[in-house]
Amino acid sequence: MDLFFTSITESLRMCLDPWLLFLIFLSVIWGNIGGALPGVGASLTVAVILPFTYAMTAEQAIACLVAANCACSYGNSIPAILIGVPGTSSAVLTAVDGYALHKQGKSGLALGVQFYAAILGQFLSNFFFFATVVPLAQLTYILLSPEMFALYFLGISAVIGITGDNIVKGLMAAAFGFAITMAGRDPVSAVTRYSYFIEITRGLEVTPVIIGLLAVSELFRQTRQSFNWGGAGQKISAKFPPWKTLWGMTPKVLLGCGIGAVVGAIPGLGGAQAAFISYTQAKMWSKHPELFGHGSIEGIAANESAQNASQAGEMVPTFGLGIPGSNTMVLLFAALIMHGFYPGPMLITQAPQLFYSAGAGLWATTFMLALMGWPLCMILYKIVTLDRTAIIVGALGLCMLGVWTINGSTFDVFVMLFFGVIGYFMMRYGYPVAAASITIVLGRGFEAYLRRGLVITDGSWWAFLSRPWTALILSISIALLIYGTIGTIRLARKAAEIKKQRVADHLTKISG
Amino acid sequence: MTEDVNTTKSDTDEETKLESEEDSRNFAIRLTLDKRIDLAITVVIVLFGVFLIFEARDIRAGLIPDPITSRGMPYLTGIFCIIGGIILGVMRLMSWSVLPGNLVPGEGHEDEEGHSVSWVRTFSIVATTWISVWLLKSLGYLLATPFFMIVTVWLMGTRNWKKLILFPVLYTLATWFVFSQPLQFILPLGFLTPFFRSLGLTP
Repeated sequence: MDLFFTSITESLRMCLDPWLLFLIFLSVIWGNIGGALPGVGASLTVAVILPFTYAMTAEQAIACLVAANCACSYGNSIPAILIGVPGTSSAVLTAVDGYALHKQGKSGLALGVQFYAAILGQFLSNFFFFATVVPLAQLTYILLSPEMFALYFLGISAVIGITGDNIVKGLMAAAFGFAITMAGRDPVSAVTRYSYFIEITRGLEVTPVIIGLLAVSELFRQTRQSFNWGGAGQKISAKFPPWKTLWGMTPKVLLGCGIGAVVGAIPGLGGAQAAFISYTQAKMWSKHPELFGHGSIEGIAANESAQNASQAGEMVPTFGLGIPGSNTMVLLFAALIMHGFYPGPMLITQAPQLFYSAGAGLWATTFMLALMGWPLCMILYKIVTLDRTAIIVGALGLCMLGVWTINGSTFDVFVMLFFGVIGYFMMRYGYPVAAASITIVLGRGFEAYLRRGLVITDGSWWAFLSRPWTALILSISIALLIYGTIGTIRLARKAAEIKKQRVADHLTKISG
Repeated sequence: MTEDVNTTKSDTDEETKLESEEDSRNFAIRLTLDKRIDLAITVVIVLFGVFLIFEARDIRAGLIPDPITSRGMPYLTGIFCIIGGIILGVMRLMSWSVLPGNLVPGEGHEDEEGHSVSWVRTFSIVATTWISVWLLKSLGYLLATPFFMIVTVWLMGTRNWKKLILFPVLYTLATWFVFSQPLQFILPLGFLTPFFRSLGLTP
């Protein structure tokens, strides 16, 4: 309990640093802009400011990246409500109900509920973050190589949840990520593998590969089309709703916050899934389910609290277990590696200031959004009218510049662009880049702990797998894997049936 | 912003044909994935797996005696890729004749409806980025970056001179200033290095 309160007070104490607060403020502004711009997304938002964090201390870098990620979840709902276009997939259901309310002339009500749910969801989930990470970090003292391997297996098994309709393609993307980690020196024997260029004798730098796969690929994909969002030119006025109305949404917000924090903490799941689950639960328990999809403020409250709470949730496995909970956490890992820290369960015990700075990022973002979230709505509405070409080209330039500043090496930039092209094809043809990114980050550790663990147990697989904590974590992983596989197969079958029906209709039309 | 006209003839002809027919507006299905390229990717995956295994034979075992050795994961990943690639290839071939033409329902990120698509533009931009990085050390950041941005903005269909010239120049100057002065990164200046050194703006 002492550690829980110490963590909170230390992170709040870090918020008293004016320079850190200023950096977080800039990150919050950028995070909101990135979230509001359709097509940009959380990964690109964080990837663009990653190069700026190289000049900061590790604590400042973590706080800024966390702040940008959390602010993105707030900003994505503004265009969802005012234009009907969600900034990211987590705000899709907010777009449905929010835009309906906007068309009924109730923009202020929708925005007010969104503001209340988002801020309260973030605030309460921050406590969840500290309450879960601190006990998890205590467990690291009992974790040897076999247990660490099991944790990495848990992280990698989350890949099955993001494979999409085609599991085999998802697994191929993950295998590709593994293959990338094999370039350079073997993590156990230091034997050189697949080193065709002198620059990769020590292995490929993680940051250029990740930015290439997650950010540059998306930017390349967006250059396929050329357009801007219309319908955002007219003036909008919105009045803040009565507090009594917002207070009435509190049960839905609390439900959404709980769901968001827990779902976000499961590797492979994120804001979109949390928002959907929260929305459907809210509809199930609502006195007016018929309003959902047609302008339900309960739906907006549930969606927003869940997607905002999931940001703190996904940081739980990241800091507690060393398993990235989402694409943006993978980028956070890249930032930690750049600052000389290796992400893992030992991180909190070895460098607790990084944990406190992540908490500082969460608190400061929540307080800043509470103060300026409402006036920001109208500004973000205008942001959507920015020239999309300028944003894409500017973001591409920043990615190249940022990667160059890592080592002053054009090889790194070429690596980033190469993986950007690979990622482009992966995205176009259904191979999830997220799966590849997760295995790139976890792959070396997975192999290293497996082989070192077998050395500890003198090569005995039974002794390796029958260790109590190893067996427990592996059992959970396998259960999640089976559950995820069944769920994915069911969804894929449903999608295949729908596709088959549509193909049949299409064939009937063209032949008839 | 001008409409882009550099579209892939064969693919977009098929898409346009579908979308221009009045009945096609009732279709919920969009045929955007070229099955030939999808099959080619599965072949690449199989070959990649073969490559991993073939090259793994030359990896030394290492001094630390673990049962897996340095070759274990490469072999496993290679076999996984070969099996996965074959499964994907067989799945694609089995559904080859279901739909006429080369396009099938998309499986990845779909393009947004109602706006023209151009893979030629995308790969022109990719080539531009590669060239600009290649020129970075010789021309320097202050010349290579505006080149990259002007060409890319032009390829995206912009013809407005403010966006075509002013935006790249201002962007380059702003980013150079922010990164080299307060953030203290040394950006390459190419043949302009002695000039900027004499001004004290670079070490």
